[in-house]
Amino acid sequence: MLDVSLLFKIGATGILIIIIDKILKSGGKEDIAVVANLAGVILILMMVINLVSKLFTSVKTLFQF
Amino acid sequence: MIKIIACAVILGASTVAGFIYSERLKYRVFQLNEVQRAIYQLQNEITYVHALLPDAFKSVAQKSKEPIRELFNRTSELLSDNSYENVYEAMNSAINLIKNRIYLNSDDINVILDLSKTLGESDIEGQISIFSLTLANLKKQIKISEDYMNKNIKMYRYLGFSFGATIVIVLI
Repeated sequence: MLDVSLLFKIGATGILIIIIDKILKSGGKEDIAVVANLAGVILILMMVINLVSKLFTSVKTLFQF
Repeated sequence: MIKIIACAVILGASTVAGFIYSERLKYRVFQLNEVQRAIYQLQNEITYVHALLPDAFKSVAQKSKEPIRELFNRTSELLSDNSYENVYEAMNSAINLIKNRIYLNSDDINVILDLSKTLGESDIEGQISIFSLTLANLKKQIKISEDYMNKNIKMYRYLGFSFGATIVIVLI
């Protein structure tokens, strides 16, 4: 069973990253906004990397006879 | 329970950090205006009263607010003690002494130091032209800093809160 709290966490992080991006862009700091977006992507990737690795191992075990 | 309190503390701390950082921009404009006023006064002391430089600095310091008062006071003391060869070195070391209390950036400080390089080394006419150049430069810096403040003061406040919220969400 998938942990639903992770989904909420990813959603909230996404919303906050959008807000930070908007604030930075309105302040005329587009380059920092891009860095903040990248940081957000990496943050969310770090959250799901465990699940992705689990998926890979389960797929691997599926094809091992 | 402890988790909620810790999250609230992190959120509060980052919000306060954002506010404190945005206050620095306000202080910079305030201190630049104070420097401008002090330089107008110094110009009067030199061109009208014909005061000696240490005395002129002292009298300007008495009429200024902290920390500009401290800057002119220290410069006056260093000049009276004959600790330095010229005004530039005295002012430079005075600025270094109060560096953690002034919010001016290096461009602003360079404008002040450029003035001090030529103070007391030419006749009244030369001084007046240097003063007008310095005041024009200062006005430019004040305009830049005001524009920067208006643009960024809200951004830093919101950013402080947003970063705090991001940290809290990652930690939960």
